[in-house]
Amino acid sequence: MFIQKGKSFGFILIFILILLLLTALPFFVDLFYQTFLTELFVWILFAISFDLIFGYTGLLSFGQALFFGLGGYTVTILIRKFGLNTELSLFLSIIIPILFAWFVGFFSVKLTGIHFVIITIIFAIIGNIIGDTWTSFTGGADGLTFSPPPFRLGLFQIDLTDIKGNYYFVLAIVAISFLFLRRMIQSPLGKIFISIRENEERARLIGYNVQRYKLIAFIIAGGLSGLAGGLYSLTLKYASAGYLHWSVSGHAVVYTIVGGMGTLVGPAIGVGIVMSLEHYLINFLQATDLVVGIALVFMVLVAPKGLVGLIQSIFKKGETSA
Amino acid sequence: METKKTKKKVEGILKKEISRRDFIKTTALGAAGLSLSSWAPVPFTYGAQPPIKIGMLNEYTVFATEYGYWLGKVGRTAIAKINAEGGIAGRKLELHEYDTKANPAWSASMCRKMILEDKVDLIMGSIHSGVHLACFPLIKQYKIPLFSGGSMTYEFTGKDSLSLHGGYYIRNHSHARSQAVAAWKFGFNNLGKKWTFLNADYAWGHSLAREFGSRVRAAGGKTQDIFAPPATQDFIPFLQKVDPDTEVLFTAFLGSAGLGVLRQTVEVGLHKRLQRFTVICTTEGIGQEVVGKESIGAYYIEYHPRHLDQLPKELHPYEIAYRKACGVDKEGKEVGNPKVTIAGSHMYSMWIYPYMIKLGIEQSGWKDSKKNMDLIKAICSLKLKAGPWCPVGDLVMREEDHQGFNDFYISRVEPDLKLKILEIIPKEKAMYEPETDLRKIV
Repeated sequence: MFIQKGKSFGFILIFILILLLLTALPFFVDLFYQTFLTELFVWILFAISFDLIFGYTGLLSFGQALFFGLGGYTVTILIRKFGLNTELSLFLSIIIPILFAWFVGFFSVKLTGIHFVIITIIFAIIGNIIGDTWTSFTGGADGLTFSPPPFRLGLFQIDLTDIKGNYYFVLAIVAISFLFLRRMIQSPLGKIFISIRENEERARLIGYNVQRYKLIAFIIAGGLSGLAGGLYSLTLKYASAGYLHWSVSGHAVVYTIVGGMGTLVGPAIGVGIVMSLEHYLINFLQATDLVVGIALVFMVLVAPKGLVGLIQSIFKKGETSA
Repeated sequence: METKKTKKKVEGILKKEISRRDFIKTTALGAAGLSLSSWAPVPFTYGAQPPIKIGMLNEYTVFATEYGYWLGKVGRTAIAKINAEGGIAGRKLELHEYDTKANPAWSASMCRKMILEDKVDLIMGSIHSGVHLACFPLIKQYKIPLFSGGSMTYEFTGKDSLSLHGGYYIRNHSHARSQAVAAWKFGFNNLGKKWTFLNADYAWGHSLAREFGSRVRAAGGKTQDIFAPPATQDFIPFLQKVDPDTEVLFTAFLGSAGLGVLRQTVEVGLHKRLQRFTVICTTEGIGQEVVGKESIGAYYIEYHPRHLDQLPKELHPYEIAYRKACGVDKEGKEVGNPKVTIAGSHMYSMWIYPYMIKLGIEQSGWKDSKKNMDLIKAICSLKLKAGPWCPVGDLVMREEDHQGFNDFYISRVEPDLKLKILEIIPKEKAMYEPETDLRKIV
């Protein structure tokens, strides 16, 4: 109990320190790094939402791109075509993907293993085809641009076209989402997700409705992926059918594998490493994906549990030998 | 007297016996010195002024790489030539180049990197409409001119120009509407009145069907639209839908699908009862020998001929110089690599832009981004005459919509697989009423 409380206190302290650091950062880095970090926060949200179903529930879904794209399009289309405000559009970028996730999950979670992977890819492909061909509504592969109105919350108003304003806005939402996911994972619901990942059969025998809990995880991850897509669109002021492509889910897979699945910090670190590597390499060569691919193979061979898993195992070894 | 002294000194040195150790030491030091000197920054001799930074985005990987390769090569060559000729207003051009990966969202990130980190003054390149669209919010916000490499979406210089990019987009090449305005009549008068469009099911394919189709229908013709996924390999199910009375089959696909559709029209025998008409975009960067003999008899709309001898004679001197600089032979193949065919109807845009920028800067007195709109206005009022920097013949920029016009060509694939020009359509016949007036922007 005491150790648990100490761990929580340690987390809160580190979390606040990081948040303070990130809050102060825009005063020390130029506009480019502010936008780079904003984009990085969005991908962190997408990666941790993916980690909920992959790392914590054991479901490898390539369908997250569908929810990411839906979130992006919800914000873009509602603002551009229906003149809705940013607050409501962003809120609906969670709700609409949740509804779709419920529908997709209803069919998908009945399947396991490779069959689950395939059905989620198929749903993402269907979404991408619709996005690509329904050009009058989605803009197809070319996409749609828009200009977001300021985000209003009571007396506060944030201009999302301002780089710094957008930075703080995205940082706040991603930080809240991170805390929400952490709290959920520590709750009894999170423990059930983990028990399903560890031994689905045993979880079923204990009396849990495994499919129902898988569906809950799928829906929550879908909603958060949608939110990430919505934030991405607000950051770029643009959405296209490319957001719906299943390979976008591949980003989350890479980030999670590099950082370490089943740890919310892992995917966040993975995003930081991969995006920084890409940003650094692009100054020297065009084929950055090739290097990222090699890094991924290296990580899988050397540290199959990702960077966080590797650090944890080193600490554990140290404790055992002591 | 001094000469004699020097002679003696040299003789002394030569007579002096050199040990093996001395030789190795001297050679090694010399080699090290040479290597280090090659790493040292070479000062630009035009003056101490900062360089003009040009960003370039192209499709080098993933998709449409046959375009990206040539647009990149020609853009680099043109910038090197401008630098070799003394730069612009005594300033060197510095190139910052990135791959779009044919991914608009990634391209927006690269565009932002170029604007905010590399601090580029201007951006050019890419044939991907989505890439341009994704960059529009950025160029509009930071007021950075973007020169289109080969985007075919006519709306970008249409009525919504101001809201899309704030007037910071410039296009010196054709697009779906100007192609239709220029070439529909040739097809209607010479190939047939009943058209079927079998196009890629995305914005470009729809745009071509809409632009050509509306004109054919307005002239009393009949049209049918069939759209297939952009990466279709088996066209038989779609070709079966072609109306039996179709006289003209207009197709628009990129890459292998573009080849597949032409081949399969022959496999099902459609080529015997109808004429095949398409834009050169479908086979740019791909040799006709790769498309195969199935393409014989197909009609193409070209924006700049692939084969040198198909060009009007008066343009030959300029074209020869342009091809020589870019490493292209008279048949439109890469010098030393005849398997690589040029994207000739697109890549010229990247050759002309640096020159247009040069003229624009000289005319507007541009020094930095504060006068970007003045620079754009100067560039968009240019009337270029055929010359070494404008091998496509006269090119007119239109101030109202920042759109350029040059001549079009109708060609047919001959039995020797050569694209033979049948008709030259002057640029005036490709012009349409501008839908916007960007001259009002201050």
